Amino acid sequence: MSLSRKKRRMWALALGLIGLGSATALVMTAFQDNLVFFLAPSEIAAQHPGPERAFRLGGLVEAGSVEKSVNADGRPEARFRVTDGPATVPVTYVGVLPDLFREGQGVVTLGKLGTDGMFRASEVLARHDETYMPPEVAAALKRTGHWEPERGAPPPAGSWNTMSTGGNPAASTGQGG
Amino acid sequence: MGGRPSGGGLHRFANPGRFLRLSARVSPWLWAAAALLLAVGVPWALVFSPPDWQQGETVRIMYVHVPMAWLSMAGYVALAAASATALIWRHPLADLFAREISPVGAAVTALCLATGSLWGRPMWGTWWVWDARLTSVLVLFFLWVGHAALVRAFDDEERGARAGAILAVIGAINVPVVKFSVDFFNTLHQPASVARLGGPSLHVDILYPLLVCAVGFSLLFAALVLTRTRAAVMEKRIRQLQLAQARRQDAVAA
Amino acid sequence: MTLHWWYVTAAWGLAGLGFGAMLLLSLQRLAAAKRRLALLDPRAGGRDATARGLPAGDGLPRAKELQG
Repeated sequence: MSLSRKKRRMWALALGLIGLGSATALVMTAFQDNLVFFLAPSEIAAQHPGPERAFRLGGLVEAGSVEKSVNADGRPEARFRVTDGPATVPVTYVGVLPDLFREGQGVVTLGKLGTDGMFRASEVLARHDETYMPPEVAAALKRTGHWEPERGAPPPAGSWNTMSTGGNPAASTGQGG
Repeated sequence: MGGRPSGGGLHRFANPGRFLRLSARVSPWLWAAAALLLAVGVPWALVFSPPDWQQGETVRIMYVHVPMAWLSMAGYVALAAASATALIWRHPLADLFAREISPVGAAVTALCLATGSLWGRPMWGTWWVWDARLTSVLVLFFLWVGHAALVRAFDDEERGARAGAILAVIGAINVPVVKFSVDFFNTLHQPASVARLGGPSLHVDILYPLLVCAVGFSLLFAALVLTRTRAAVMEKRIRQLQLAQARRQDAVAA
Repeated sequence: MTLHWWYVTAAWGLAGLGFGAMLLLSLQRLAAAKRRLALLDPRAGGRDATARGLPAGDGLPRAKELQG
């Protein structure tokens, strides 16, 4: 038995152990701390986290709440409100917003809640919902008043997921998925 | 060693021999079907399917990411089933299959993570977050890599296969964790779009190319694993023939 | 749009490279195994004997039938 083969096996075993060890470690730490990946506005209202604790706030961007500007340093700044229905938290953020960010979309923001009730975010992540539709279908749903994206989730998928993309809004009804 | 081997040896070889004959017939059809479906699915996904109303063209990553995600889990279920078979019935073919599927499974899971990251950067605004879905898929990746390394780490192949099988069966707990993480925990990752109560929440123009790609990649995965398992059976036979040859030469020399 | 396509290209490129490499390696490996098996066991004619349930030589499958 040559040394190189022994060494190869040793490395393979070490790799396996490292893999197993890190898997277990990840399960222990990441899952324990991050099972609650974000807090909803109503949970924040109930828990009152202190101003020095950084945490994630998650919810929908409230319709009509987004104000974009450029701050004194020339960096983009955004103000908006995050809501889960019963409660709402105002947020300020300096930086570039992700592509999916819009009113009515889910967001997860990392930051601290000031004593003034303002959440100062250092990171804003857009959350995608589980719907995928061509632009024509989204436009048709908006045109016919079936959906206002700023106000939240689209209507049940069965009402639009077989809709023709030829631009005929009448096809939106009565087709199930 | 010129005579016939013992009954046990013959029994152990009967099944791999039949496997090679059968798989030789199935294999070309598997490759052909995979090639055909991907030849339809990939251009459909990349060119002919519509953009998403808010993701734009980035939605096209989904047609490779989602099949990789499904394969990483379905492949692991196959690994766990083969491992259980090997532990209970001591089927040598199940051990070889488990040994050969895990590098492919690891590759597919790595592709799932990489393509997801490439989607997350422009869409979410981050390459990675430690939410329950992403973390459990990373654990799945480590399980695949750990299994692949473990079965190759032992001097005694059978002991390595046994250790790997135990790991694979225990690690199967992680599969439902991956699947339901988006429902049980609040995550950045969105919930399921296809396998969902109330029907798929994808428009058919997006759903159909996804399904064609998913079947195509699954057939390619199966063809790869089958080919690797065929090679492994042959390599085992080669080792036995070489051993028999060496013994014959020893006998002549003595 | 172009930035979107960059991410799409990177994702599909990685998948293409990954599967391409696995495809090449596994087919090479199978061809090598077939070749070595044929060299070790060039005797033909075992197939019909085993198919009829008759012992062929040392009772192990012949290279030809292993290759399929």
